[in-house]
Amino acid sequence: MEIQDLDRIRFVTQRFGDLQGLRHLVPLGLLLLSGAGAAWLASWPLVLLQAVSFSGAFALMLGARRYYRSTFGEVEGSRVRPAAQVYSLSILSTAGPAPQIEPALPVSQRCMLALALIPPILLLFTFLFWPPWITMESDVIVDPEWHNMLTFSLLKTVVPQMIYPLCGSFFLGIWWLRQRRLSQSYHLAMGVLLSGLFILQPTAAHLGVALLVCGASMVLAGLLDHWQLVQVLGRGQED
Amino acid sequence: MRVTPFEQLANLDRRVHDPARLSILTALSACERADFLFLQRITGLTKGNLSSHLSKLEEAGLVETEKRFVNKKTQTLVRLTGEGRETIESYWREIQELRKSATSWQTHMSVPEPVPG
Repeated sequence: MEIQDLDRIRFVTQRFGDLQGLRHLVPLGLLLLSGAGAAWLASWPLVLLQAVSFSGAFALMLGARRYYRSTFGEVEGSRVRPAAQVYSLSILSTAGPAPQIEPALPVSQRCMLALALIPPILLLFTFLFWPPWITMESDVIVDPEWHNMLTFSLLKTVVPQMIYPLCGSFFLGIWWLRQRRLSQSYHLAMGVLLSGLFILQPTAAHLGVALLVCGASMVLAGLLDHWQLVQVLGRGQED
Repeated sequence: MRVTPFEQLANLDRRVHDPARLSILTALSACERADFLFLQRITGLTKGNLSSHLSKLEEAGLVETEKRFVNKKTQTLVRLTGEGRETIESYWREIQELRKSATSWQTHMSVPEPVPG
């Protein structure tokens, strides 16, 4: 029994719910993909894709929970506060100091918190990173009075560009909360890439493209989370 | 009299100082409760083996088990007792001390003895 094994046991137990990619990230990614299909309603095959993605997301959300419970069991969680992780170089860290355990926020409260944060983050990005190269139709904006610029065509250009850093922040947040572990570095990579895509030429910032890229990233991240869980929990030994 | 690392090693709590029980207690220390299936998967033990270790840990007062019915099947939930949490923490503190002690013992043993005369 290696120390790394104990560390892995502890991490997977703490994050058992979060690592269930088929329950969370994959359905969320499918919802974004269905939104991408909605942005391109010109052809019916894409409408069909939209419908399949949308219904697939809900089916997965309902069925995946039962799958994880019957295949890997259940954990009723509590987490060690991040402060407890300061002993990462110490052998003590593999068990973690128990008195610092606090109850985790229920999933519903976490979702509400995340939704509440979206509008201020969008506004923050809009005002901090107001790209000077935004075009309205084919014209370059030179008028500094921003309130004259709030047209639908402008929003169509700005909103897709904002989706990239929003999604990128989401992945960076996951990577940070999962203790910046090497095994979670795919979240870091996606976070950096998507945040970097913010600096796009406006013609490439189509809403459908943004939703497609972000949706596909979430599906990929969810599948990688699920794969990690399967690798660690694997198949139990038979008697 | 100074306790040697070997004596410290011999004094480790045998209820915890076992690879299987250590992995069970480590998993339980990271959550409120876990069910039997999860513990079996995370530790890689067989059902019989896991049952045996859980019985020993329960007899020692380190874990508590609870059975409930879910979809007409029995589910066994396991959690650490207060004594169990203190015991695993204490165990890791002792390991930490043992590590320091072993390092200084090694240093002490590597110093050459002075030549008489």
